[in-house]
Amino acid sequence: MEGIVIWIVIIIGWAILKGVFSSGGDNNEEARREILDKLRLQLKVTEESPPKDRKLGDLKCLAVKVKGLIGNPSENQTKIFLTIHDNTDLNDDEFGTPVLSAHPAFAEKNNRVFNISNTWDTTPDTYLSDWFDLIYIPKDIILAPYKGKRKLKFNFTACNTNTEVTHGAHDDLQNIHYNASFIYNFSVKEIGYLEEFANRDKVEDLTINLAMSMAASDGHLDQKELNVIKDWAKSLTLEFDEDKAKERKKHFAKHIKEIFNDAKNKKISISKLVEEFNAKASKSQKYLAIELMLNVASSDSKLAKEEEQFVNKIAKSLEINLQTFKEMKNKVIANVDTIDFAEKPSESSFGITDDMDDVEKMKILRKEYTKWNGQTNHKDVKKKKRAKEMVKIIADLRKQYSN
Amino acid sequence: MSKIIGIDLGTTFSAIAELDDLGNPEVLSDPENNNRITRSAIYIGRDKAIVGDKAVDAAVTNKNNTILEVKSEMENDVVWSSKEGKWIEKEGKKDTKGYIPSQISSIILSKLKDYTSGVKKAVVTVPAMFAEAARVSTIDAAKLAGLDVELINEPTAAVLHYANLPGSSINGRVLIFDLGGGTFDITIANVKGKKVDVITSVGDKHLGGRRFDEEIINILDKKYKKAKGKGLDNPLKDEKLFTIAERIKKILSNKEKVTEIIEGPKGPQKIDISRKEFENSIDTYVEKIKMLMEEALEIANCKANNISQTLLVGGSTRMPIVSEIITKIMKKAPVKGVNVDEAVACGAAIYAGLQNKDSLNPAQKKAIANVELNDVCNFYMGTLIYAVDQERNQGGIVNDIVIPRNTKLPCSITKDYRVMHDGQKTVKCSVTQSEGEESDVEFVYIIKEEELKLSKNAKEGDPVEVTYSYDTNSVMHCIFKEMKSKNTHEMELKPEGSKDLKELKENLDFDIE
Repeated sequence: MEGIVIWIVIIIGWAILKGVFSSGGDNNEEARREILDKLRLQLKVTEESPPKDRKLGDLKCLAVKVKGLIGNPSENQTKIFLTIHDNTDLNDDEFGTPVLSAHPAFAEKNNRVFNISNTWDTTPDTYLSDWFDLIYIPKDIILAPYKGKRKLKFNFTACNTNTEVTHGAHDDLQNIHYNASFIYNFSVKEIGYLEEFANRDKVEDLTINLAMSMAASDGHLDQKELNVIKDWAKSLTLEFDEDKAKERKKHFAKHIKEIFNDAKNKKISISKLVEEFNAKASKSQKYLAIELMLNVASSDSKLAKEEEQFVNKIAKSLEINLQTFKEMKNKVIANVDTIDFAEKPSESSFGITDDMDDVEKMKILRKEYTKWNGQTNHKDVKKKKRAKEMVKIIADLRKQYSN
Repeated sequence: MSKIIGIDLGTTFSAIAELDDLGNPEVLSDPENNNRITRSAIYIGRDKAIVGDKAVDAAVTNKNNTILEVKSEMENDVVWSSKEGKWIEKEGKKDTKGYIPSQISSIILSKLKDYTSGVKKAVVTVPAMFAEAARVSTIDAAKLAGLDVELINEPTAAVLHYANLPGSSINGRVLIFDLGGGTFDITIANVKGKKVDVITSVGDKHLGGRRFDEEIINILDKKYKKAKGKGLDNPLKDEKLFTIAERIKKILSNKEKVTEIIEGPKGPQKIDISRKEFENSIDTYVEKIKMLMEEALEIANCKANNISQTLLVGGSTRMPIVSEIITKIMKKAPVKGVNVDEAVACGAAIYAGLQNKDSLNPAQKKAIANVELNDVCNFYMGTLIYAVDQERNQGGIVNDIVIPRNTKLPCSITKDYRVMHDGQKTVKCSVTQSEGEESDVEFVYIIKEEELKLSKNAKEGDPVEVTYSYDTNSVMHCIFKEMKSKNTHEMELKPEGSKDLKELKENLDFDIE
């Protein structure tokens, strides 16, 4: 469908171009230049809801649109590229640090640098007469290097087909026929990827601290919980060379020992820990920490009430998506041997908050019921048993609002 | 000419029906006692098996050899151990002795089949949300009973019966409320004359009359303990108590209060139970019923006032609280007047006629000439793919839905996927099933997993097309196609029983009474 649209636009553009060049003659160079200027490649970026046929749902997107000349004078195909650079504190004609993509579909091959490329069938005169929807980029997949207000430079190039772009840079600038860029002011709420890199060691330590606090939340630290934390720390050293791995292992051994004692002696301030973690960790690091905490909680095949409440509290404080968190937790709930929701299960276990009215609470609980009811047929005996328990817990909890 | 019958294989009661010479469904009675419904209870003796009330009586004295509620076990990999008197997990053990659920069910079907003669084919009903494994076991059971079988969902069968009642006033969008002995289903359908279009079905496989009986037993136990200082012995294992509880439940459907003398370890005790007490004890189940009604209405995208009638099916709908819930939620009382125990079997008989028109006489053909049934896919059918969770910025295998639940049948849906990396040799072709819209692999059932071989020069991003086509006989055809080379891998999934039943038949060599 997209291909058909491009061809329609190309044909219309070709007709306009033909008209322009045949009517002008050689006596009006200025008018010709003016026309050429009007035909120059242009790019614009706006925040827009994607059309339904893009199947992006209601994701917040940046619409990237192009118009003007793109045809390759020497080939019957044109390779197009879209890159994004962080130009905060730089002039508009410079190229800053490349932006990364959270999704491989919007990234260079073999790395995460943002890149869109495609090869179009063109003629030398190919011209997009009106703004053409190049792509809708979900805002969430744009990973800037730093947090805060960023000046992002969107750069669109029309090139020879043998052109390659690596880490946001063209291999040969001679291959570029047309180029257009657009500066877009973008607000980054999460830690940027360069900050994430810089903070990495610290965040890993803080993640261990959170996991240790989780292990201690039910009043005692057991070996199984400690082993999960040790294994996680060990897995972080696998990517390093021998010397660096040795150094990190030594560091983790010392850190785990210290924080184990702090947790045992109740010396960890959870509020300070969460505050520091929130300031330094990226969104993906927050989920990794939650995942480790859930693994710690389930290491003894039991999800204790205190553990469940603790991880709920941390997830809320980290401001992660509570639906995603609930899905992560459901996986643990389905797999542990026993859950201990106490006599009256906590409403927060199901994502219910005090500000919700009864109708809203009932709706959430019904959705949870539907999820677990569907699992009462599960082939795995343990999961089936758990699903039946959950269905009962939910129905028991909901009946207080029902009448 | 061989007959085609409809069988409602229920958790607590079963029934068999056929089309009479004029094409009207007729429930067949047990020739021995003239009962139109038969208890789904089996006693297995040394050289004979007893089905029905007599088997329940046997349970009082020989509970290890009496099996009740086999339907609840149809999805499980279990065997009935006469030594232990309970279902035990096989857990892959090959030498576990005992009877598997399909063997036990086959005994009930054999008994029902003998209420008439010349039966070779049957339509057997199953709960709408019956798992794939349970459907396969049901087919095995029918085959073991010597029947060629087709399955139909219980509420769908019931609505067929309602729509075909002589002078039926059932029209418009209806809700079928099917609360039986062990399972609960709700179906919403459009009915126009004798044409039935199913919109959605939802259900709970563990909700029904037997669970309510358990609650009554719990009340009896509590009251006995209060009066005598000691509770009843293993009350939920005592079939005699279940018989009493069922009687109490039935009386409470008509009276506000009932008094029973309960025998226990400290002698007899007179115990009163009020309807209010009973209803309070089942409030968790009532809440589940409410949730499922809300869910069905939401899925069907309609409000209570869009439903013209609520039709009752199943013995447990006789409880006054059922009518109260329905009236409260639907803002009008349910339709009464049909025998709720027989509606499913009658509907199955109509469906049997519909599927085998060639074997009907002219009058029967005329009677069902205008009957039409359009069903939906009751599950989400999907495939496993690699995807990146943008929220967590993490990649992994997830379930992607190809055919959404409640898609009208027949249907054919194609989705596009991509080869993951250069030089990839194969694509794993997984077919999944789930009740909910699940993306997490942990929560889906992988029905089949095979491989599509890719061409030698497969490149990252090459398109792979996946097409699922689901027909009205629950047969699904899946095609995984590499678009560049046109290499394809096809799979046909149909509800068929285990291929080899010889072994299962071997230890079923006894008379059925």
